[in-house]
Amino acid sequence: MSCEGPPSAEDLMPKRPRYDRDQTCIKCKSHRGNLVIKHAVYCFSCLPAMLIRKFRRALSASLDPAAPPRGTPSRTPPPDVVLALSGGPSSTVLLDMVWKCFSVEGSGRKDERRQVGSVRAVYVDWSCLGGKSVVESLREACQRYGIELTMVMGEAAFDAAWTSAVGMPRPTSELLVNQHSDRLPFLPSPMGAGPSDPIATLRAHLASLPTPSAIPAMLRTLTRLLILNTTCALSCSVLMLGTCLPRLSVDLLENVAYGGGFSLGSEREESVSLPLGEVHVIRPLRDWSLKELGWWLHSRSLPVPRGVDGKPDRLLAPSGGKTLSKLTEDFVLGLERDYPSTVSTISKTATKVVPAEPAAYRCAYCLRPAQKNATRWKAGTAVLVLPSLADGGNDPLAPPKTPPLPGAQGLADGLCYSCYTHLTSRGGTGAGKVRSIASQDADRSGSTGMPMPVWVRRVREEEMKQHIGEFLLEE
Amino acid sequence: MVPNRTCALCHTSKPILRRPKTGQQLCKPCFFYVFETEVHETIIGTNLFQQGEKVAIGASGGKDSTVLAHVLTVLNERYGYGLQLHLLSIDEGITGYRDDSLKSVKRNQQEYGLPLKILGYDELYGWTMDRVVEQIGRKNNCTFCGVFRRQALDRGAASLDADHIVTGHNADDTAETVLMNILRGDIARLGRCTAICTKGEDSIKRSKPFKYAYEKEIVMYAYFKKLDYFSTECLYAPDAYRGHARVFLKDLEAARPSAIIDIIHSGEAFQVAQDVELKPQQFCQRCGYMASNELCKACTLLESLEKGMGKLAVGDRNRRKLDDEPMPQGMRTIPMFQRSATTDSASPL
Repeated sequence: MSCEGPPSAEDLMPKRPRYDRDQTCIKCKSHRGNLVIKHAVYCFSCLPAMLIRKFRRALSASLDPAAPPRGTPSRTPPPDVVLALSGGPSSTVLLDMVWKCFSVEGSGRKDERRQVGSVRAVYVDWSCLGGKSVVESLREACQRYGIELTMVMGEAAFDAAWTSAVGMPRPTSELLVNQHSDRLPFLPSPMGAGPSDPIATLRAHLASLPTPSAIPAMLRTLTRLLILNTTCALSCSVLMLGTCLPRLSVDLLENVAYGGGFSLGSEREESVSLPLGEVHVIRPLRDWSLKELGWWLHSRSLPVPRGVDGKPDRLLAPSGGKTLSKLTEDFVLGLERDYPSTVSTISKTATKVVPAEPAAYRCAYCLRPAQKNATRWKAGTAVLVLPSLADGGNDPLAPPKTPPLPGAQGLADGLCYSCYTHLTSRGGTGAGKVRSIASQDADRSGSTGMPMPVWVRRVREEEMKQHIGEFLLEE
Repeated sequence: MVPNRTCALCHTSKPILRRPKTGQQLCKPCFFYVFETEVHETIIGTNLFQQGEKVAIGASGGKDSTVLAHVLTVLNERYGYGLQLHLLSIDEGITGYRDDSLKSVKRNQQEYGLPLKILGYDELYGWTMDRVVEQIGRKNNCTFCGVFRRQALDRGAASLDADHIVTGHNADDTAETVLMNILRGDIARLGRCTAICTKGEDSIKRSKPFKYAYEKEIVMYAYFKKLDYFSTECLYAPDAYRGHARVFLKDLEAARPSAIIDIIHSGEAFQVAQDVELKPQQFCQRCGYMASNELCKACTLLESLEKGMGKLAVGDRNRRKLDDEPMPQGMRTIPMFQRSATTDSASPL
């Protein structure tokens, strides 16, 4: 160490100001601060304005990044919006924020109110899996705000009658796949079978999943597709989700753990094309911490209809072992305590990466972009058959072959990597418990194949040929 | 788990293990076969080596590098890669840890008949890790060790005139690095951490043939082959932050064994967006090694140690303080990095 005297103040780089060491609000600089948010102290008068500004900023950036400056009338009509409500804290804040910013009663400014058109709300009810429905509490809350609530039953994902309501072609028969084969080959529909019970079909689908971790992931996907299709059916083009920062970070990490890195950006923002139009999904609360959410709920005395443990996937959580979803949530919440800035770093990292190659097609299950040969990549990472049993000897220095094309076409060819993983990846803690936790009467599962949601369709050879027609040479 | 009657691959022998990667119950010969074949397919599928290449195996004496040396020796002979294999060990100077693990490397050298080169931090930097920890304490000592080791491996390989360094990084390490880079927001590293082979300008190729091999399977292979390796953890505290990610990954693997491969796939499926600015690569003005600033990280860390300010060297915040401090007389520096051109014209395997 140097023996000279301590350096003078001018010699040192100025320290980054940490406002939580001060008692005064950083906005008005006069009142005593009441709450510390990311090292900045706010008083109770400045905090609501800061949070509303934050909400608007995220919304403007997502709705129309090239929008004219505040006060300038927009030339395009504002989009009609659907709010996806779960009954949890985030969606409660979302509902209140939208009312506050975009309604006359909520004292939103006239020019700012023009940012969105009509506002509706959608709730997907999973009470068929044994949980408590919060639809009545949500209906009351929506009535208070003057917003119409549409309820969709979770089992609608397996109900052929629902397809006509959302403009999808009605499937002629239930689509079944053989879940015991990695190619997920299609199975013939049972002869003379009438319309099946959607709840039983949903349970059979969940019971056929190979690991408990796949259940919350698939329930999330089903919820997302039900909401997206309903948004379109309501003639709305924007879907707002109440995803807050920790939840977004959990979703992003979970997506990485499922192998869904290709569509990482879709977790933050995405546009999905559906039979009735396109829906833009945005998350205006994506920069809100749990503290900010909690304060808003507290300061506005908002009741939260659903408790923390009321999520549908929690109902099906296995008693032994944890799902990837729960593990990721625990990990991120632990990080928020020990390394708080990491939670926002995860979200920021996701904005800086893009898919490594153009999408080859859309996943038949989740409708997200998928990369070419993703499912075969996985099959190529492990030797599952001895060569003598597969195709005899070959040149040992020849590049390894892509897993052979199956004779029969399978659903695997139309899936993205993560959906394929959910439907085929086996083993791990709690494996084997899925059947009992997802299905009260598991008679259907296993024996007749895995039923698929109504939007999953078997791609016919002619349709595939149509897509690649320009590249095919005459035989 | 109830064992099956016969191995899932040969359907004749009695299975003795369940593969962590696939869940299949296998007999010993089938496990050896699939493990070695998967490494071979990784090597061939990615054109990792070229015929006649001189390859330095980074050998620490631990399980990964011991199995790597064994498997590469076996595959080189079985498939006629024509590689000239060398063992390259770095002695960090950690008493009671590295000296013991090097004994295991020396035993392996004799068994496989491979030439061995040991390069010490003391010889290259004038500092051992024991002395580094004496100055800076246990916090952040992994940063010094990691930076010094990377450069030492390159310099050791250059002295052997090797074209290629292979390390025992396995699938778990790769998945963990993907997670760590996301958590730290290290975009530059995130973009390249899943690459099986990395090569900077004028630097030696560095690759990970075990990229898709599960750590548990490497241990199984070493166990059933009765390989001689050193299994003690480093004496100096492991990186607490990395420890968080490691525990998380192990939990994910327990819940769903494919999570490791799935995370690697995620890392391979995205790339850094074009509008994100990354620092261009340059060469260290002091030692000629590749760097992203005027001085490479190893020279910066060495300078901080020489000035007695090692604790300030990690992170950019104290950089100015470090620069303002005059250089002590007779300050040790790293010798200029020199290496001959690689033989890129050789034919791939």
